[in-house]
Amino acid sequence: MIRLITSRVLTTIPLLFVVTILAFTMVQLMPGSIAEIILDAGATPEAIAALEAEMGIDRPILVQYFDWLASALQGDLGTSLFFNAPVTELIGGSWRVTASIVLGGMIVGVTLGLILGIVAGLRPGSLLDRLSTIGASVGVSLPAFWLGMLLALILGVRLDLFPVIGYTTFAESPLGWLHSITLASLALGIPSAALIARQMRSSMANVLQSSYIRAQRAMGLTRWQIVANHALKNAMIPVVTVIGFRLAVVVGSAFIVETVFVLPGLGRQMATAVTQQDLIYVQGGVVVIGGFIIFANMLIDIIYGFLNPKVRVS
Amino acid sequence: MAALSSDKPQDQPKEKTLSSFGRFWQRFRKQRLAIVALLFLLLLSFVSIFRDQLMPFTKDQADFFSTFCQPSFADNSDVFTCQNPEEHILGTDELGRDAYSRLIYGTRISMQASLLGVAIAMIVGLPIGLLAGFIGGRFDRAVMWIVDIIFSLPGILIAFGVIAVLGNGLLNAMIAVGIVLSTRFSRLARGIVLAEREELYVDGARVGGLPTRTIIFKHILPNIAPPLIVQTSLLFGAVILIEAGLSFLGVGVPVSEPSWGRMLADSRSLLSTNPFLSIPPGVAIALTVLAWNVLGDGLRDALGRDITNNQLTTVNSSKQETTASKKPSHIDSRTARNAALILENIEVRFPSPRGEDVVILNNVSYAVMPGETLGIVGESGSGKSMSVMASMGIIPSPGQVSAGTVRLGQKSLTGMPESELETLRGKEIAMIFQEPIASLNPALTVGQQLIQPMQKHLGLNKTEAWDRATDLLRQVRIPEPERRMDEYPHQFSGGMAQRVGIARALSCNPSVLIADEPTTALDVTVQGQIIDLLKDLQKDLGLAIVFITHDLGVIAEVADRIAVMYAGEVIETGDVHTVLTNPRHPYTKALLETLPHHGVSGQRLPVIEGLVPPPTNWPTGCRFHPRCHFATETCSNGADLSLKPVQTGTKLDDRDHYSACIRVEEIDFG
Ligand code: SF4
Repeated sequence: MIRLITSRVLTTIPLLFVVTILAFTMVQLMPGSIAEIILDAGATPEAIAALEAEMGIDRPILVQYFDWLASALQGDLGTSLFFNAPVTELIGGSWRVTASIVLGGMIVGVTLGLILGIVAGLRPGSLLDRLSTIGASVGVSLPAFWLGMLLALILGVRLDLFPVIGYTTFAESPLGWLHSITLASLALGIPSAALIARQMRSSMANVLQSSYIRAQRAMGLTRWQIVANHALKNAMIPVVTVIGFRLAVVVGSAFIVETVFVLPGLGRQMATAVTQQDLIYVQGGVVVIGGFIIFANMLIDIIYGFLNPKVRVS
Repeated sequence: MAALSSDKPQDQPKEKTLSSFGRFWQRFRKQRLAIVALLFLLLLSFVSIFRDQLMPFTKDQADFFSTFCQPSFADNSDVFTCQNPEEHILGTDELGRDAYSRLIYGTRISMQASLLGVAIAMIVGLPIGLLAGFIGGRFDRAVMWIVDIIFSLPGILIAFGVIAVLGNGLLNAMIAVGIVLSTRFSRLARGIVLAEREELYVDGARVGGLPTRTIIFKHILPNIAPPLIVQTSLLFGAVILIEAGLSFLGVGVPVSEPSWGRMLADSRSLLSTNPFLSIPPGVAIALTVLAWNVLGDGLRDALGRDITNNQLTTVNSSKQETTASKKPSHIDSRTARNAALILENIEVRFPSPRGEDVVILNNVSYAVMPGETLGIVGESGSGKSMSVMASMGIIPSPGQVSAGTVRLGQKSLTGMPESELETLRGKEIAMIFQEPIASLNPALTVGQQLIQPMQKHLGLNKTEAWDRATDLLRQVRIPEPERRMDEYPHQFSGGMAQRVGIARALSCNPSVLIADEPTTALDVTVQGQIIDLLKDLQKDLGLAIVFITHDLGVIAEVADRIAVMYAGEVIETGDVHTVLTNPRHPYTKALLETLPHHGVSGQRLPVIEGLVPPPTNWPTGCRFHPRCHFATETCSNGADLSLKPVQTGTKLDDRDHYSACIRVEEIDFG
């Protein structure tokens, strides 16, 4: 197990490098230079050159990269062009909101998805299976942000059960926090649940066809013993991978869902930065979010290895 | 090319694609939902082509006398700002712009965006994947490493990056989306190229000196097509979702263009005043994505396999039918009384998709005495495995024992409730399997899976069960049993895994052991060891063994008695020595003739000319007649095909030699 963890940690480090390279290259790819954007259209070439020299962007690209990387590692991702504040500070103020609804969405998605998927997978072709399969196809097709609007309309505006707008921090009031993220979490969680349910169903159905299940049955184990002790763990193996991929999708959807519920999260900042071509902020955002996803994938990989002895042993 | 055609002589590419397309179409046509989805998507294409003719108003045309209209079917009387509700089927926004017209306008944006996005994804992604798969090696690893990183990041994040660099606009947004989704095509293409490369014929093609380009276009693209079509369909849905999300944020499609996502964003602020505005664009997005997904799933199902059966579901044999079969079997009453396991007149049916039942086993009877080994032989498709599954009540659903009785010692198993059967399986009757490693749970250690049945059947606690399991491993001659208990099945060789299987089967002291081709997957020396082990254990424990094999050499070595099966029936049975030296059925005789002289053990049965017919198409009369050298007119006319005693010698144990051949007296078996 320890060997597995070290090897996963070691393979993760180069991935982080790639993300920083991608983020850095992004700014280089932009037509024109940052200095031109900052100085507006009317600036003289001399003024641009002077600012470039001041910012150090006239130096060789590799020097610039390592310089940028060094500051990034110290927590300095530059100053946002549009918000006019340090990127680290901006992200530091907004990531908790996004993290809250991502976490909520994943919890809803994984729990609901696994339960539905297992139930459907145990009896493929049954009425329950068909119903949940239809539910899953519809769920997968729903845009999370529209689902969010519908939930806001029904549970928020009509029934007044949850706030439709705004975010309460956990420190202010844990219950208020839960309240403020519930709708967004549901909006993110339901489509995820649908996807996970689909995977779990087919994975469970596949496992139940395998010959070790027949062998356990021939040994007189009951249906539930077989499902709980033999089928579940094996069926989870491919689903864990799907959950990992889903996390990235949920993070992406969270950016949009934040807008629906007017939550002051990373996504709203990012969207503003993108429309304003605030490349410094976007660059910082890519590094932070990309880094997070890669780190999360590493954890998923470790869980995968834990479930699958073929990866772990040997 | 010569290598190609000699490897797969029947594999004519053109015919193959045609017939496989035909088969695909047959299956696809039955997917009604997928057809509906396809029609819906065609309708959307129609709408986007004739958009301008279909829009009652232009997208920005403001009707200031009809603002905040509800849809025309709702009550607009208290909306005093709405003067002409009947003109606006889906209502209007705060400027009096017609929601229906804007929805139609957005249709084209969605269709355009998805076409563009998928096209870009394909153009970028496919070549990368094809090249990586084809070149392989370090190039492949490096490229796929990058592809996987991009694949693992949130699509929106990458789209943000691309749009931040390129600026707003539909084309830029779709370039972004295309790049994001291209990784799916790359992964797919590479996976398939790798799989195809494994196939002999690509190697053959390479040896034949065909240029790489030809191989890609002639061999790989045709194979990649089915999964590619499925993936493309699903991707259309994904692009529409991402595009809607981006427009919702105002990133990508210009804010002035009413795409569906944009309409939703606009309706967000009107959620409390005119909630209905948020419904049509959302429904449009969801339905379109759903249609692509359903179409994709339908295509996949039409191209893939069925998962509706599993090992846990069985249909219980109904009592009423089983008692109905009172006809006598060939088994005499003394044998019947003392048998450890007896099957009488067993019939197994599977409902076929066309409604009629398919009879897999017909009137199968055999018995095995304590301490004795009954060998069951036959080609694959003869029903030998099905017969033992019937005896354990584990025929996979929707199959079912529809007639006959199974008795284990004095207990009748047919009609017994599943919960009671579970107390007997493993305890009184146990089984070992053909694929020893696959029959062990890959996720648990050997020890973990050995102890469970003992805890259940013998009431042992965990430590006792563990100790007994270790002893059992020692008994089946596995070296270092303590260490092996903590290992996983994939760390075992086939032979060692089969010993584990035997230990598991014997762990609760059963009286009957069923061995379903236990040595087929093993190499010859290991085969011998496993057979010796089984014989020794049988001597020590007094086990009754039912040994299934298609290998007559193995049968001669292990069995006391033998039942020869063909096409779901027992066609000859008797003492093993008598049957093998004096066969009284042309099928048995044919089987024996395929053996090399002196019957060297371990030889697989060479196939007799022709094939075992499938259960859906069993010949009338004697089922062997199409392949039988002695067949006459009467053979196909359904005469008495039950087992009849034959007299082959004077020895006492010859008395239970039976054959189903109606010409047994006339044929010279020489
Ligand atoms: S019954 Fe006829 S066809 Fe069947 S085995 Fe005997 S001779 Fe051959």
